[in-house]
Amino acid sequence: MVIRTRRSVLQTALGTLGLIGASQIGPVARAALPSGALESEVLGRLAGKQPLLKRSFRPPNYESPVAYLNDAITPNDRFFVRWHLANIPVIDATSWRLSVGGDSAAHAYELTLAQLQHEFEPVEMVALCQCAGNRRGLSDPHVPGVQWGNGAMGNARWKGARLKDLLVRAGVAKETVEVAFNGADGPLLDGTPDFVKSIPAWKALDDNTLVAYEMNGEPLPHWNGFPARIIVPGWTATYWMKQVVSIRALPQPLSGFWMNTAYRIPKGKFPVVDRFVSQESETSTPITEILVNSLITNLEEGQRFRAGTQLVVKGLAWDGGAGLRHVEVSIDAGRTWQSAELGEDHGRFSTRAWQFAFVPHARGRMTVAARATNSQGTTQTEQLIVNPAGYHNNVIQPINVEIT
Amino acid sequence: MPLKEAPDAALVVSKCSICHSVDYIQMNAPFLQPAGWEAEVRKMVKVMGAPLDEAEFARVVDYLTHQYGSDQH
Repeated sequence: MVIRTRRSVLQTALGTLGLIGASQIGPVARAALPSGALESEVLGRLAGKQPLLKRSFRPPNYESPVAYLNDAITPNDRFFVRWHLANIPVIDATSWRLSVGGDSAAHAYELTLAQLQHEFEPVEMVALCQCAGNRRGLSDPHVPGVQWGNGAMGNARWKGARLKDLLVRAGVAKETVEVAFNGADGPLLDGTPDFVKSIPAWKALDDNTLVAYEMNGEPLPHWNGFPARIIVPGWTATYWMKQVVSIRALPQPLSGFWMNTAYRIPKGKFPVVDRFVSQESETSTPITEILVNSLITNLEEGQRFRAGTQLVVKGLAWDGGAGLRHVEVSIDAGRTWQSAELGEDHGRFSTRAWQFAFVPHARGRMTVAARATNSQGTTQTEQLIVNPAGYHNNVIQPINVEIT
Repeated sequence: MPLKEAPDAALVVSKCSICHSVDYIQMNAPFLQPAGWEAEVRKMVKVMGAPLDEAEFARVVDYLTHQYGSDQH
């Protein structure tokens, strides 16, 4: 279940320890979802899925309960679901076609699913798919949008063709600026802009960017984009087009609501490295890579543990592809930090499981927090970096448990 | 979960649920100021093509502000 932290309780705890507003190392208080989001939250079951936390029925937006994220690989039936538009067709694999072309391609062509699977070298990669708005609901102050908690993310082993190989077959021009994707989903009203996204040509031609047709060794679930979706490792999921039907190489920037207005962050506020120059404005830029972050997956607020008995804190950590340097855990509200033990390395685009075992002795409230640092030395923020759409929330999250 | 009862609840359901379930409203509460709800509905009309005339626009904003607006204004 989603871990719900009561702010007043937490502030009392941190206040007792003298950390509120006084310390540079103390984690900030963790905000909760809006009360309306908690009241309208239900565990709902989509076809082929385990129960997920419903944020909206139509279009379907469902997140994974944090307990589902306890392992590095997220099973397909526990993987979150996110759609912008409610007209989501059920795709027949035999009649599905992927068109590859655009004004910067010399020769457009179409692929069947069998051709996509057999005419290009298959590549496998474990990569985190994280919604740009993951944790938006924890923004303080709250901002409008789907009020996601911590579970709009999942980590899977993807298999597919390199997007680059598809583009090379189309004779893509050196002058290509962006590559645009469209999915089979669409709006219900003519006036609603179709969900179309682009990425810079350099990212489209990166060896790691895939057109995936398998997820954890199986066809993609319908709700996660069957029969094929774009995989942009390290970048937020807004670019990971589901039910992809069109790939276009463009000689100019893609325009439209979903590029010019949505999924943008203020320039210069976040520790991001990758740029999307062709879409930058004076003040804002499209969101690019995922920020370094971590999540405690096996503790709940207020949970009780016995003094003198080993307690193992488990969780995940990740970043946008630079690679993790270390994960640290604090059991004293951020005053001191100790290294966690890292689990299996599935590659730099994957989440990494970690754990921290210790024996609590002192009875009373204990405030636990985790903090990941990547190979560039970038770590998680203590204070929310406020932005209009609530993106890039990698605030250190304290959890209070009771030692009895 | 139905929307809160008030005279224009039926109007809100009939217009908003053309494209999305009304839990979008419920989860985005109660934190938006009147200007915040107005901006959301304006986006739905101007960007998403929601079929609201001016009078309906005002009624929808009024309903959302009073039933699902910030409890801190």
